[in-house]
Amino acid sequence: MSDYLPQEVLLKILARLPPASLIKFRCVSKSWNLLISSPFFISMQIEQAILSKPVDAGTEQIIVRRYSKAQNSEVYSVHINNEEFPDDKNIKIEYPFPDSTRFYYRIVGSCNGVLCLSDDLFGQADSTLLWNPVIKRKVTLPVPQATFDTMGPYMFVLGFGFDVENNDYKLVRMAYVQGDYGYLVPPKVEVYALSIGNWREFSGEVPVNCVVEYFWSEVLISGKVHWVAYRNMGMQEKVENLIMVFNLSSEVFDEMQLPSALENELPINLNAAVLAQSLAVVQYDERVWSKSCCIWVMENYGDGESWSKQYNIEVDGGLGMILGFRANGDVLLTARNRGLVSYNPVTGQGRDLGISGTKDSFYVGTYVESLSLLVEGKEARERIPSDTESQSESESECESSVEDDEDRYGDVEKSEFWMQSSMCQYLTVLLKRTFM
Amino acid sequence: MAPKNKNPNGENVVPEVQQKKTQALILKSSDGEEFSISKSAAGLSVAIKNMMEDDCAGGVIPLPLVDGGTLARVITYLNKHAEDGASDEDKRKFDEEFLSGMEVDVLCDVALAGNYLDIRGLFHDVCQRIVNGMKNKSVEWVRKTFRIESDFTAEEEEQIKKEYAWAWEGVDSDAD
Repeated sequence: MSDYLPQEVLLKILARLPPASLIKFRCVSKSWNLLISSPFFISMQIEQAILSKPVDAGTEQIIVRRYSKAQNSEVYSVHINNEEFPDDKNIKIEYPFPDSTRFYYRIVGSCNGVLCLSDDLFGQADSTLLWNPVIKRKVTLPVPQATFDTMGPYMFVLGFGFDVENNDYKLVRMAYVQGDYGYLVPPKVEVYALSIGNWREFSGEVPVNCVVEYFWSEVLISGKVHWVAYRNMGMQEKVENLIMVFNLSSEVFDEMQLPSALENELPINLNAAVLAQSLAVVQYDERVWSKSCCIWVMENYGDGESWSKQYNIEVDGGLGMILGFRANGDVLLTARNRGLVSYNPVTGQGRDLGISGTKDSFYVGTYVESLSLLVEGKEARERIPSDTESQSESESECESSVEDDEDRYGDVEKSEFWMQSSMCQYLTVLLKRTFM
Repeated sequence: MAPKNKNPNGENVVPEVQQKKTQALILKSSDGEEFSISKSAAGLSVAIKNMMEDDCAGGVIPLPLVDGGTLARVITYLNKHAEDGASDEDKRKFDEEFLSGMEVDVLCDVALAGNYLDIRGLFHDVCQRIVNGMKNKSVEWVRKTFRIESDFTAEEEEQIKKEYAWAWEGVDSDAD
């Protein structure tokens, strides 16, 4: 063989290796180590990983999260989103944070193999993490400025994604102070960039829109984060729903129109989603006890006139959440007491996938195995006792924690239901005042 | 019957497409071997296609970065992929067999040629083959195969290993 593989070819070969092999091969030599750890190579590997698993070829990977009552823990697995899903070839993911949240995290988003977790579903608020499960690295975000301590009663909404222009992961956080008649606008906005490692106050123009607390969801499409928001121009003015957009590269807010049928819907019933790379909105009949929903799709991105109602979905026994879409046209959703279901919107039939978890704990997102956070992250592994001493300590800890589990955490399903129904009641009263 | 193969004077002519196909071209390897290849097969290489369009070669295209052995393999691949009757399934089977007998050294040479000649399908398949062979191998195997000498001290290497101990789980033995 030629004694020397030019760097160009070597890079192209290495970019096809799985992250675990790349981690190992950093030991080959100093130049391999530098190469594999470089931002250029890390982006190249992600690009290659995305290219090699195109959505329409049925090789797209998805990550599924749910809370298992039996294991008292979140459970993550990676699957190929094709006809055989879920087969037994799924990849189980080691979950390193069982003790740091009451039950489970909100998954804000999944991008290039990095999950953004926020601990705000069961009362706590200020803990946010970035986590790359395949290389077992995490970044714990610092506490932002806008918290209960500085703002008083407030709520926040997050957006997460990758800024392609600056090769950086970013979060945008909008914190709304609670006023007498709802949340005050504009919110206080802060932006976190992984390269800087801190939150900074956003100095650009902030739209006077509000996002529904607790039930919000965000979707990332070509470097822009989207939320369903509503505009409240004052007591006398009409309240209207719209799509609020934040461009992670240029750091500019924007707005897009919703179909007129959704403009005056109670915004608590609306969630942003993504269907085959297009922006979509799920319109639930109601929260907590929902039985059906409609899915609207914006066919030409950015064209507010191109919305169309794509699906009506009705699930016997009750609908949980719409989670994702599959190449074969099925919708992934949760149905009450049935776990994850693949629902055919043409026949109206659902197939139970045998993946169970508590009702509101499911998440489905796109996934690629990447080296992201290799440089910035700290190790995130399941706790393994390092010697006999710590083992005996953790054993006694374990015993007591089993005993307090019920007291300390309460029952996960009761807590889910209580959070959902009380938030739903509170927000309905709050929003009906302005919407009806 | 079909008059399309006759010129206005009623003489038989070879259709233009076919003409292009049957026309041959000479590829010259770094060690001076010459290979004849049809233009249609050669055209599957983006680099050769560009050279043909520029017509800078006068029928002989020198490839100073590809040795004769490698070029022979590449031409076998191109001929199969330019074959008229070959179905996608045929080609897939051929690719599988074509690559399966190659040692890593040879695969690397074919990868180099595939990259240089810009034959995307071939390059991708060869890279994937190399990667599948190396992903579960040890660091020492990679050093030996790619002829790389470690410039790490034992301590430095240990440090990286310690940080990511889990990545060393499930390493294959170095035997191929």
